[in-house]
Amino acid sequence: MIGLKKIWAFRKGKWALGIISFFLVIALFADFIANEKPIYCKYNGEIYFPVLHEYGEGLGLLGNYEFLNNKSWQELQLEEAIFPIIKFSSGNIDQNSSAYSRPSSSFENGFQTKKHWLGSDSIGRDVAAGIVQGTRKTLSIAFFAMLISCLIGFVFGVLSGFFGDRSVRMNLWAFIGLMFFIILIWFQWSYNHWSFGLALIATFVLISAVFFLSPRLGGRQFYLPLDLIIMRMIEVFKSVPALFILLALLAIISKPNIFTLIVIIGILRWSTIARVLRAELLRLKENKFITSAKAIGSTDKQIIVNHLLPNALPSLLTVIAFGFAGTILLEASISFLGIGLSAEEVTWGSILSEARNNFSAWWLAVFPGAAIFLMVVACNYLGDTLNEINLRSN
Amino acid sequence: MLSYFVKRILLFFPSIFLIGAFTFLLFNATPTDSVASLLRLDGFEEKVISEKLYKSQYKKIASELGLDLPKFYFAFVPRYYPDTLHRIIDKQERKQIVDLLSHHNDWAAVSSFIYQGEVRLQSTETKETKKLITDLLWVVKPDDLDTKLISAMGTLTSPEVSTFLDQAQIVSQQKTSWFIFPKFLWFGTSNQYHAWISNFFSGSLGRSVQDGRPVWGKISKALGWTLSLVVLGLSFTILISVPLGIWSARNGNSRMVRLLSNFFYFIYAMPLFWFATLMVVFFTTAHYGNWTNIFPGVGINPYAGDESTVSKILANANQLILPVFCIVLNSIAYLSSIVRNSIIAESNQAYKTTALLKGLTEKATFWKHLFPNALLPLVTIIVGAVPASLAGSLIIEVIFNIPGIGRLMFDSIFGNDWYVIFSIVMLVGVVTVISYLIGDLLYSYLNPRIRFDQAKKV
Repeated sequence: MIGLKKIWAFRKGKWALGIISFFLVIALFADFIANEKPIYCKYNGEIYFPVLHEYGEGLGLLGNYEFLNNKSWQELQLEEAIFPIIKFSSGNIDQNSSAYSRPSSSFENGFQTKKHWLGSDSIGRDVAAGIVQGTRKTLSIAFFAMLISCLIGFVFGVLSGFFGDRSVRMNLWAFIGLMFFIILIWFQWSYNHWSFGLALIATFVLISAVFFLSPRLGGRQFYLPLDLIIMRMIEVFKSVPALFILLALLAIISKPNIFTLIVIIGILRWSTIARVLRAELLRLKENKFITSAKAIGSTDKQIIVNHLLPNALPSLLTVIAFGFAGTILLEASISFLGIGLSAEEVTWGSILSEARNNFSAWWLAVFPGAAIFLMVVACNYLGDTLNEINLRSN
Repeated sequence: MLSYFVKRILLFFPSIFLIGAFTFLLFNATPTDSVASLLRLDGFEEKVISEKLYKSQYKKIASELGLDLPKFYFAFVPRYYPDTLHRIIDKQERKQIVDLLSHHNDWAAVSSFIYQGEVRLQSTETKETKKLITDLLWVVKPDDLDTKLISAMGTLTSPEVSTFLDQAQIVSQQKTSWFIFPKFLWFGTSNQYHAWISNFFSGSLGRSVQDGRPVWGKISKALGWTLSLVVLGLSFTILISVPLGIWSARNGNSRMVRLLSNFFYFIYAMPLFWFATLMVVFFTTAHYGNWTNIFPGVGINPYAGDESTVSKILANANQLILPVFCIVLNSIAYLSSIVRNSIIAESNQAYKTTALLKGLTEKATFWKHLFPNALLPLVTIIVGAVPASLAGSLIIEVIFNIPGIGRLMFDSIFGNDWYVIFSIVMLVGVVTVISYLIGDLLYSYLNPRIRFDQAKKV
């Protein structure tokens, strides 16, 4: 297992860990870093924690502050207050703020002086607040999309690398019958009143029954060419032009939210993980410790979970790190093209795309792009480091 | 060798089949009605012309597009389905019939119910009766049919309606079974998928919903721009990075090499869309100093109309400088480091020592023996780079307003022009498959030590 200490020993690893944890902190505490509400304040002799209160409102536990009366916190004369570093909420348009304010320009709003640390965009939204909230979106999209591709890649990688072409054996007629009945079951789901769950349970029962009975039937046995089928699938997915397909898919959905984006990106990117896991398993399977494990009677599950996966993990982590960078880039490019999330959702890519509307607003081009760049480089550095550690230990 | 070639080429067809199926599947999931948009382009606005004329025009356009054909070569449908359900073009109407059929599993009853209803609608005069009959015919939930029927029976008492009401009575009763047996329908090659693939390869891709021009004409015009971007980008990258790679392999430890390779690595690590945006923002206007407008602004010069694409591209050569510059600078680091590593790897081979011992000069050894071998991996990498550079070209075209296929796809997405979008997706998919095919064939031809079957097992 690769510890953080090992990564820290490399120069690139230090950079990677530093930058990634920096963005992670920003993503986790985004509401405390960029918010138009004060973190702590004293008003009419009472103490409030408006940012924390916001979480309560979000969960439906707490009601709104009644004394606010649709006014913003800036319009109140607070006795004491601690505001976040960036006094803006992402996406909210501050009325007194002007469009295309230069970085670190400030203006008066009510009783507060507010400062656009990184400037503002075409409708006066704060760039710094957008980047802070965008961090959360970008990281969560990349994380969950990678999780989905890992799950799919894991299943297919194990099926093709561990089981391969010559270990799943069954009676030929049982197989043909199985296929026939599975089609019949799903036919009932699509045309008759069978529910999805019923069809799923029926399929599962059928498959387990056939796998249980088939070796006992004798007759003509044949091997299910799992490896062949999955390799063909990987080849097709490799030749899919990801950006073009993604754009076409998003155009069909027309109003994608974060969830659909995660699912689509996750499904588009599983093939690399499956390919690497397959290669690793094929390599590891030849080792003596696997033969010994088989000799003492370990089950397939024990061999995969206890022996193969821990050994395949370092290479997998390398691919995941590079895949993370790729996912961030893909998400940023579609937001940049304006086809990803809806226009109100501020992301790194969407802020960057605004730079094309006004060439004199250099801050719109530099800062969000730098965030994407840093994150991508950090992931690539992490991948390089993991790869290096891997090579040295072998 | 030959058997491998044949095997690899045979693999090409299932890939095309699957990519075609994938795009076709997506194409069928599109939310907007292309036929209605095409009708609007032809001047047939719904509600302006009579409903009858609109319907007949709709049918005409839809059958031109082949929408009245079955979707695929074959289908499994429930036993009680009619064989020609696909001929009903209107999605709403088809769904209605399917809903009725799944409520009452008998095509004879359902069809005679609909037929009787249509006959009544043609012949009855009063609006009230018409409305009642339409309500029954186009009932939203077939389960509500019986309650609606009871209320309608009070008003509809004339003897002519009674046959219709009898049919309605039959259909309103639920007739379902716990298990439905499918039947197999074979349609042959007259189906939408077959038409989609064969139209794609014969170039008749239909009309654009935005301006009514043929899709293939739009794509072929845009293709010139994209090809010039990709070809110029790739050739300049090769012209610069091969000498750079050789130079850095020979002077591996000099400070200049390290500085330059670090610089190119930095540019390479920058996302292309960020780098291009920065170049556009800082170097096309005079906002940031007197000299910063060294490149012309984005977009291409207006032209008179029917010039050929080649002459348009030549007339806009200076507009292409910056986009090509961005593409080239962004990919130099990758290619030159491959050249460098490959040369270093080859110079550790025994044949280099042999050549030197034979009495060849250092120079002759390098150019005659090392160099050709070192360029071997480059061939596949360049062929494999074509799909990636198409994706890169999309972003560059959007940023620089160049009317290539990427820009065309981008604009078509906002105009819901599905025929254009999926023709482009299909085109890019086919180009990708072909370039991987060429890459594999070239690689095994140039490097016979590696066989496909061995490569597969690694």
